[in-house]
Amino acid sequence: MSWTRVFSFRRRAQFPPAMSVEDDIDEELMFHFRSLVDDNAAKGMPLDDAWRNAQKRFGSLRRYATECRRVTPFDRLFFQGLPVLGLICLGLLVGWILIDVRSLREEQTALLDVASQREAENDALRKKSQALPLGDAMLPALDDLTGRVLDRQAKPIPDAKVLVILKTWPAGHYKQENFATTTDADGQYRLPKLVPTSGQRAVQVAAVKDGYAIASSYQLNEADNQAAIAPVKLELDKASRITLVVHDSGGKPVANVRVAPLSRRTRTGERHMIYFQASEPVHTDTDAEGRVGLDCFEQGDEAEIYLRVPGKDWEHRAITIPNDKDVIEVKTAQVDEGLDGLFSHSECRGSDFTNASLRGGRRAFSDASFTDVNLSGASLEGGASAFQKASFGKATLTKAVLTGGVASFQRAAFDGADLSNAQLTGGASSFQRASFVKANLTDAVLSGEGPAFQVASFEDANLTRAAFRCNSGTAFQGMRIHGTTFFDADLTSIDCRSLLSCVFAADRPPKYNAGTRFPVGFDSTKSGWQLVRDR
Amino acid sequence: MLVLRTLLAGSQHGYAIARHLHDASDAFLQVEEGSLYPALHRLEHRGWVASEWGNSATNRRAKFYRLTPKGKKQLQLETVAWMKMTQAIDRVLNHRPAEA
Repeated sequence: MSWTRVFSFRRRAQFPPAMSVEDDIDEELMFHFRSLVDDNAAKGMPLDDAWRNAQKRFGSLRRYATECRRVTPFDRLFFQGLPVLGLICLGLLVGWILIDVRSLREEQTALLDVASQREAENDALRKKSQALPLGDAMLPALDDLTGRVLDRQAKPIPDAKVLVILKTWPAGHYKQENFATTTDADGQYRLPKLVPTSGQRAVQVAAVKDGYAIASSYQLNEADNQAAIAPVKLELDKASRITLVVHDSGGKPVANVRVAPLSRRTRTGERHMIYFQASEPVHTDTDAEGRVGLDCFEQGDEAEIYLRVPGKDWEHRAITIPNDKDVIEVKTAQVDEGLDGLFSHSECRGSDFTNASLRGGRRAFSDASFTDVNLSGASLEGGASAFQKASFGKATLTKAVLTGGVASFQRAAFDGADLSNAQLTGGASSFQRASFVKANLTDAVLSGEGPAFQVASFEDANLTRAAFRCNSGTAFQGMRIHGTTFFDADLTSIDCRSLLSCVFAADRPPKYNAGTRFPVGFDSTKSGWQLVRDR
Repeated sequence: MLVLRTLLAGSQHGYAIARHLHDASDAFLQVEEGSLYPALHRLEHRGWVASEWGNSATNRRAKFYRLTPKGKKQLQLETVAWMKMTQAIDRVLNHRPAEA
């Protein structure tokens, strides 16, 4: 290439003209050439040598420019021609529809006459049925939920927020609802006609008031116990004045981060929590300096909170409330947004991905189909909401490692899959409504955080020597365990009350052996589980 | 596929793409400029990447390419296809005839 040619390129770069495609290409290639020169000079080459070396390496700019231009007209013709073709087809379609609609209109008029006649008949029938009284026997009897919120000196706390979760199992199905109210001047609260007087039920009540630590109560009532619910009294300790400061991964404060307190474990081991579904009345946002008051924990508490940066997913944080300072700093997760959604809706049915390693970001692998795929020894990693509704039906996942973030694996299906020795790890709220029907989970390890595994189904699954890892009191609730095998399984990290809330048919109880480890306080015999002495 | 994967991390100009492919492959892949720019232009006209002019780290005007949603979808398809291909080749290379 001649120096005059180079000079002409440089002049264009200094005085950008009205950009034509050709100028674009020239300037782009010139930038590349000059970057090569810069790199050579940075390595210590004299400027002339740097230019010569770059010229030698780069070759002819003119040739590259020609090749780029050759790509452009063909592709332009092909790809820009497509929309024009599409418009012509659309025009033809609209014309056809207009002709067809005219003939349909006449038929429609006739049909409308018939429909209006039928509607009039239905209205008459509806009015007739509304006039009939509903039988009292059809309505479940409901009790008021009442109680009082006091401080440790037994003084009433007015205007405390009372957040209630009601769990019922109508016809063997798990149902969870949330309610909220506030206390009156005397610290009293009442939610009228709320709690069913019959059937299995659980009521969780949490009280929150600025300056007081969260307190909660949980009452599980077995189906055969018809006792009315007693007033729920909560005594609140004074909270420590804590300021939470939220920074991004670069150390800058983040404003408008929504913060939701989730739970606290006191120094004496008591656990109090707010269900996330019921927590909206106590959400707060950080100010312009990334600060927000967190006046609902005591010093020494092991606390769990959720954070949500605007436009992002919820993040789970476990923090210890310090004794010696009143500011806690947390960082939001560094998100590689480029990986978001990668492999979502991928169709990989029947493929062999043995020992494969795939990494995606948020929502990665969601709605993907890995049906019948061999993923032995594979490593699949995603961020928040990854693997949601993914299908791993009959897939081989032996020794596979699947990792997701908050809300990952929700409604994922592993029905009939071989997950022996697999490791599945999710964040808070992960594996909710996931399905492992007839899956082989021998020696598998399943880990989650917060309200993970809720209403997941392990029907007829084999969980021999499997281990669940999640210390949250709200995890594993309402799981379906009809006929599930738990030989030598480690269930110790499941909250006793959560295990009691699991669902199974009386004629298909979960099976366990002497080696199965249960949480403290869980009576497997009384709960209807079947002890199998000989495998 | 490699160019699309490079652009997952964010928008880059052609020179940075070439450097990334060289560095990320431990200098195994030497991208020829003669292939890179026509390829980038082809990707752009297929709608898999989009470009805009901006200033580089050295404050020079440079054309930056970014991945479009359509390009991300294409990257998925190509990645899955590539994995299937490598697995198949691996099986052929490691194939042992059944003993008679």
